[in-house]
Amino acid sequence: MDEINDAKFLQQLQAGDQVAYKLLFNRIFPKLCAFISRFGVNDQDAEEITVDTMLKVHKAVRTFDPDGGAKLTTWIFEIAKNKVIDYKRRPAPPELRSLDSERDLKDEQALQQDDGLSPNPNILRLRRALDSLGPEDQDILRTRQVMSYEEIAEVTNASVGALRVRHNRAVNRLKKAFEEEKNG
Amino acid sequence: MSDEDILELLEDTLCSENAPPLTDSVVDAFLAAPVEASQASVDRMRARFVERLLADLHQEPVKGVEDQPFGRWIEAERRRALLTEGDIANAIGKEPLYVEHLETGATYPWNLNPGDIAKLIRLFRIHISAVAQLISCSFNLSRTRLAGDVIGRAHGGHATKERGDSVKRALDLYMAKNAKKQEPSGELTAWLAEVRDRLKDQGAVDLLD
Repeated sequence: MDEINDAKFLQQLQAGDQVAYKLLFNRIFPKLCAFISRFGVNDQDAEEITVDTMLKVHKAVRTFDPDGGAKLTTWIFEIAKNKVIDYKRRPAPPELRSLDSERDLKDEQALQQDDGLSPNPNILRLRRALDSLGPEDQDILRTRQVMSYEEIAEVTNASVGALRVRHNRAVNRLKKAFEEEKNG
Repeated sequence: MSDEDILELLEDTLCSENAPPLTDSVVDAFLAAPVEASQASVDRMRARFVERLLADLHQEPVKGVEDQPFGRWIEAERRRALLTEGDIANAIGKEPLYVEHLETGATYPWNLNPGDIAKLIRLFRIHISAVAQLISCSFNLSRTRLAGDVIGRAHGGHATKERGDSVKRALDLYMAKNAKKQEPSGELTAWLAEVRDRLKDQGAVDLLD
């Protein structure tokens, strides 16, 4: 993926070079869809969210600033993540709602808590707790969200056992930081 | 609070609008992992992407087209959308060469299957009245192209392929604007009627109103 984050490649992309677009899409489409699936999205919806994301990328890539602090690939994945969040916030179709009224009520309550106006206070506390951790702890907690221990081990050359220990320690530190946030 | 509780809350947080932005290291790790969607899924997504991009570009059926050949119009719109011949071909279930030949006029649309051309028309959302205009232009051009090729060779000299294509494109557009209007043959009219039927079969009624 290094060529995707190359400055010259970005220039070609921002100049509307069709070959650059083709390369970007060929590389990103398969990975992005797999990434979106990791958020518990079914295959069909994951494909649709991937297409949504790439349409946004197609429109907005000219505005991407490489000096903004993130790589182009990270910027694209962030768009995808936000699309997943939007997708999860959508109310369920009426026919599904009527199947389980109790769950329906819970969903409504969750939506009300997470409607952007009155965010769930625990989520805000956890976000602050997460921010207070060191970068290594944050990395393992966030990477584990989208990858299995085995996959992380393959990429980092660390053993699965060592990764489990690292993750457990990060969880313990997160718990502690969260409790501190809770107790003021 | 148990580990399960905190992990569940972490998951909720990372899937909420309060989630911190992704970092390069998380994305790099994922990109390095051998996980990706299947080729069939990628092909489906690419086709859907092209479909939605062109639908966004042409929210209303295209009715006003200048005098230009059908293939050249497709080429200009494809380039405007930053798409490749392969993108269009994949979206209509054909090979890139199919699109290339159609765009350059190496193959005339009326020599192709009306059902396939209907898929292309539907993809680009061209109204049947505009299709008739573009096809008529292609037809007129086909009658004068031989003379154009002679002129092109005289001006092209040792042209590269790229320059050759540009010269050919410019000549096509020039000749399309100036070609003598000719009555379409009965065969061409019948082919267009078949395209219309295929569009109807494909549910593209908004292109036929």
